[in-house]
Amino acid sequence: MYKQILMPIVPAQNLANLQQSVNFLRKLGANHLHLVHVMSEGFANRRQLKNWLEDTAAKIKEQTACLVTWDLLSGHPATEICEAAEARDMDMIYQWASQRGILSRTLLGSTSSDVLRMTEKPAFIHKTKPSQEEDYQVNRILFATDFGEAANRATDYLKELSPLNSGLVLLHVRYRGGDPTTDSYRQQEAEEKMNELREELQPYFPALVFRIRLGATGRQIMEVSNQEEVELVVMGRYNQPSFIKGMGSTAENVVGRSQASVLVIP
Amino acid sequence: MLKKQTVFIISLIVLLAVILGGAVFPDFMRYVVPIVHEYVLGSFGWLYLLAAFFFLVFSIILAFSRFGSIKLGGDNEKPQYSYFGWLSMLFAAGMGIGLIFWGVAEPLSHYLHPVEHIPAISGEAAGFAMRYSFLHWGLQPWGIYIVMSLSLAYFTFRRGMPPLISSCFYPLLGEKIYGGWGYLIDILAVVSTIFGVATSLGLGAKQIHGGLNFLYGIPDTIQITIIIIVIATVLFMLSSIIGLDKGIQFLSKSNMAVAGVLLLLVLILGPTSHILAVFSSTMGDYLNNILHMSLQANPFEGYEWTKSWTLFYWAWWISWSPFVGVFISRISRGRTIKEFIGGALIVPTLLTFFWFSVFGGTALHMQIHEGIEIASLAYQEPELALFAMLDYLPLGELLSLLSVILLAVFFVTSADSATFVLGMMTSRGSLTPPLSKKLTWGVIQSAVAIVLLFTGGLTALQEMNISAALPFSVVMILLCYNLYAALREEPT
Repeated sequence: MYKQILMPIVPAQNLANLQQSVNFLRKLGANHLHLVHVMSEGFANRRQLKNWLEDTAAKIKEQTACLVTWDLLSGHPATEICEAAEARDMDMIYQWASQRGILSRTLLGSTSSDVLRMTEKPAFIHKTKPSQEEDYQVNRILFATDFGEAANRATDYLKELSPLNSGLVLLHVRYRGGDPTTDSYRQQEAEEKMNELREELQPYFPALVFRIRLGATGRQIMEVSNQEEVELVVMGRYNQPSFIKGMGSTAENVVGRSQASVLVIP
Repeated sequence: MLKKQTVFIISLIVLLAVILGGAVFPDFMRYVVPIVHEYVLGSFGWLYLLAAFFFLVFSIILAFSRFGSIKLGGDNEKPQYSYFGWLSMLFAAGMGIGLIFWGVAEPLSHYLHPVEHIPAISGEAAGFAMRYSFLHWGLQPWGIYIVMSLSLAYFTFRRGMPPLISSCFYPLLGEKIYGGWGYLIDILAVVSTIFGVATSLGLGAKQIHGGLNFLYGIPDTIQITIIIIVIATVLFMLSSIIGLDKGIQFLSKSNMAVAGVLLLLVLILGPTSHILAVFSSTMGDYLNNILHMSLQANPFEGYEWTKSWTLFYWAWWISWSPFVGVFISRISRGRTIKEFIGGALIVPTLLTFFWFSVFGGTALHMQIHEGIEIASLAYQEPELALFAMLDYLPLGELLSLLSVILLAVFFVTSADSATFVLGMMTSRGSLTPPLSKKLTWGVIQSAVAIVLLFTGGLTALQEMNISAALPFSVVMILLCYNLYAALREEPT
């Protein structure tokens, strides 16, 4: 599932970090990396960028046994990235989180949020905690599920992460029932479904725990993610009607606020 | 044991503080109440306006949503009352001292002192007067009552929770409704209800006194008003002690008949065709302008008027809503949400409009077309406005006496119902609250009315009411969320 990866990069990116990501992707079985850069309109030096891309691709190819291709694009970054992923039938988009400050992100948005919103491909947003600057490891994964269609789709992708030999935290966030009896029934129902999911995933992730929480989904994912010190959050993206999409999905909110990397399956 | 009495004890302490403060330091109260009132309205007046509009819109959307077919009770439960009986009781819940007090006084006051950009004592002012009377007593109040009563009915009859406002917060607070947060919500409801009911009792007592002064020349002093409150308090407390519940129910139903007779008599004896024309044209005016009126705070010109009238009313209805809400929820068991909202929004509103058209329309006709000067009196002494108008009709003295009796009975029955509701709210939702609590609340609500009348009269009542309703308006907004959160669990 993670064979062909589209990776948007920028000139400011540290080559060592890039290499770290490539090593990580190789663990997942990646054999084709397609580097893209979306240049700004106007004063960008096309030739210079092409040379840089070619150079970067060559260096990565040297270090790995991967097929590395590249492309220089122009236009709206998220649109170009999503279209390139579709056109080349890539398995996943892998990009680094926005380096903008919180104010800029709030006012201008981020490319990673835009990509998450627009793409029909799995998107991996990479974030490195300070403790991982030397070597990016995923020791613990958090899988957030509402037992719905989106989460079911994400389960297969989750299983493909088993080569990482990570621990797994299953999280279900539910709404409180309207009265104590209904609430108790809902808790029971959630526990039964969690046990079923645990049986399904235990062969892939021997070190597995589950949590059931009440409250706002995004906030609970953040809280559990911090408490359990996970490095990667995996979740499905609920493909809501356009109006609701415009107000920001849980996935976008988690990507914006999480310290861990996030893998979102549409 | 103490935990079960938490709501009762804390509410009592808060209200005793107000009563003692007013009795021992009346000057301080006269100083503090207006300051608090100005601050609340200055900073949060917009909240009352938006909240009242939101409750109305929320109710209408709910009625037409997929939740409209959900029953307030079990799926196969039948309504306990016939349509006619249910609609009559709905109207009775909203009808009361306020309608009788303001039915003449309000249109005349607006006619004499409309909002600044409307010329006073003009045709335009008369249209404005009726239109805004309709606004203040029309769909918004019932939207407010619906939010409260629907939440109570849904959580009590469909979810099996105790009939408390805190029960309606289970989706948001979970088990915390049985602790501090739940107590806080119920305490706010009790305090808000006391001030709402005290306002009505104070107005009722003033008007009874006004009527007696008009008819029999009884001196117009605060002491007499207080005596009236005390007598009425003793009467409704006696009814609780002796167990005259059935008597009170009979009185309540008879009172509706008396109100109906009064309405018909004024319609027939007054300018009938004018009244019907006022009803029709004001309805049209109201419907055409409802969006504008609902959201208009007149911030550039006329905000003082908006504060004195519209915001006062929204605060009054919000503070009344627990009281009315409990009653309406109990009689609506077995109805669907759509039925309930449709019935509660349309029928009482139409009847109220008709009441204002009869009484307000007659008064305006006298003022404008018959050259009878009653508007000034209505503005300065609103409690006398009704009697001044009735005096110019045939059988005026009889109609005035009828009105005084109506007011007195409303006073007793409303106060009696209020003590039951307050007793229930402070007994963890028990439908048989102890007599001691009912008596306590009876004394407290009358004492609050007396203290506020004593320290500042009608103005003090209104100002305190507006301030007390602020925290409760936030509670009501959150009620909408809780209701929606619970409804969306229902299978489609």
